[in-house]
Amino acid sequence: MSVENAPVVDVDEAAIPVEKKMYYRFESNDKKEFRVSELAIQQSETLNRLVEAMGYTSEDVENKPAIAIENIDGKTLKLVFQWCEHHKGEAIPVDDGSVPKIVEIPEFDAKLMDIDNGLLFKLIWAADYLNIVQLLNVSCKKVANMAQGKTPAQLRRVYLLPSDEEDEAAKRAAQEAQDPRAREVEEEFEERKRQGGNSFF
Amino acid sequence: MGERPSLATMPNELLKIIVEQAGYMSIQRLRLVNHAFQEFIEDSKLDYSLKEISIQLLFNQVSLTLKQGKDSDVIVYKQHEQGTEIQIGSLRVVKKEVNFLDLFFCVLKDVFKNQISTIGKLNIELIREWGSDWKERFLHANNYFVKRLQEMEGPEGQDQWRVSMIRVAGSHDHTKGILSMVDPNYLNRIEFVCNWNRLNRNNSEEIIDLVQWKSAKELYCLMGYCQGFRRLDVTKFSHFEKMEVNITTVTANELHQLIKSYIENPNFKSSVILYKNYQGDEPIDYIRARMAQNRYGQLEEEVENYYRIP
Repeated sequence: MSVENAPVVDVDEAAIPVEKKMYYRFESNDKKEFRVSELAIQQSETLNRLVEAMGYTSEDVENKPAIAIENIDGKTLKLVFQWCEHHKGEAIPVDDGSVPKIVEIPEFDAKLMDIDNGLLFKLIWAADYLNIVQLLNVSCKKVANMAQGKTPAQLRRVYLLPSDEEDEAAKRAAQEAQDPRAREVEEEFEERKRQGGNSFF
Repeated sequence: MGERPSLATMPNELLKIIVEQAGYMSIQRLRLVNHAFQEFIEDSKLDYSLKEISIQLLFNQVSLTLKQGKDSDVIVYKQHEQGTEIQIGSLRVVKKEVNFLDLFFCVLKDVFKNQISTIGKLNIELIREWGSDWKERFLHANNYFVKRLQEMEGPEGQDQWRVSMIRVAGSHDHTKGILSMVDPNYLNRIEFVCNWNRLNRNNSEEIIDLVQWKSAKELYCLMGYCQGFRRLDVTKFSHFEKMEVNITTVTANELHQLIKSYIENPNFKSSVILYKNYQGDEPIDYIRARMAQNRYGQLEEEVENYYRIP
């Protein structure tokens, strides 16, 4: 899909500019375009620096191609920008590690993150990549909260983590896929051991 | 972002943020998920980010409450005929041939080691003296417990603990021992509850000489008549911006000096002094009775003189 034909997604209908505000255009890696207010962009340190360095005028943002964000897909980026628009103008928390980081998830964020785990993990990645401190905090807290009251077996299921046995089997499978001869050698070695041979060679 | 996103595919720095927010008990359970996760938790310099740690010692049990945000985990270590009974919510496990205090201190060591950020509140309640036959035994248990506490290192192997507020319910001696373990650079408030101090000496002078005492900004002391700060010049308390304290005897001259220092201190907020004896001819404002909370949260009426500034 060409950039010209890409659908333009307004993140927040109510946020359509009535005054002369600058709305930047961004494009996800699957060619979805978003318009995001200047104030909302400030929540992302990465994007804020980028737009500052570009020094676009209001004509530039309309006439020049949308700014490409190559590592993030449209579905995730939509959530990111919805979050930024909702929290625009809010102070960005500074974490110097001196006080315990106590994160509480506001109602809007809880609703926004009512998504499948795969998308939630992508959101964490995106928040980290775009350096959106508070979005990273709340999305990590959401994942952390899933562990509440769970047994190790339940945690494996919730987080799709392998047990030691599964991990070992996966490693063996990966090794075999790389070197199909490895299993044959191992079997041959076991066979010789059974036959009482002292040395493989 | 080529891989299917999951906790297993998360970069370590993001995994660390998630794990740190999971709370103490969840972190312990995550250790048991697999060896890779156990190694990650042990090798990463995690910050448990605890807001409050509360320790309550009873004769044959000790409870540890770890609070992170709104959530708190309560673990009780109880003496058991076979070893130690560990109680976490409705779950009860018996660990054989292990002393309950050894197990408790092993856990506390891990907590203190992995608490990088400042603990908002550290609350330590020692055994209260009961019947006269038991006094010696309780004193011995409290002394032993405080000695073991003093062996606890702070984060990154530091000698002292980073605590913003410390609350001790115990004798003067025990308070002094615990207070001396706190890093004065982080300490803001001292709370000291002492309703029993019959066997211990009243070493108020030694407490107020501690650097921790001098660096704290707020003080709250609730003590019985006999256990209050005796024969101390109240001007020694003038550096506290906010305080509520009982002192056995105050003089008019000391109170005037104190008020003068408060006027000169732009950070002064409030001060409440409870005293038993007043030495001076000038009348001062007082309220005859007040309701105070004892260490069990019950309201008790105390009748004594009460001087409030401002």
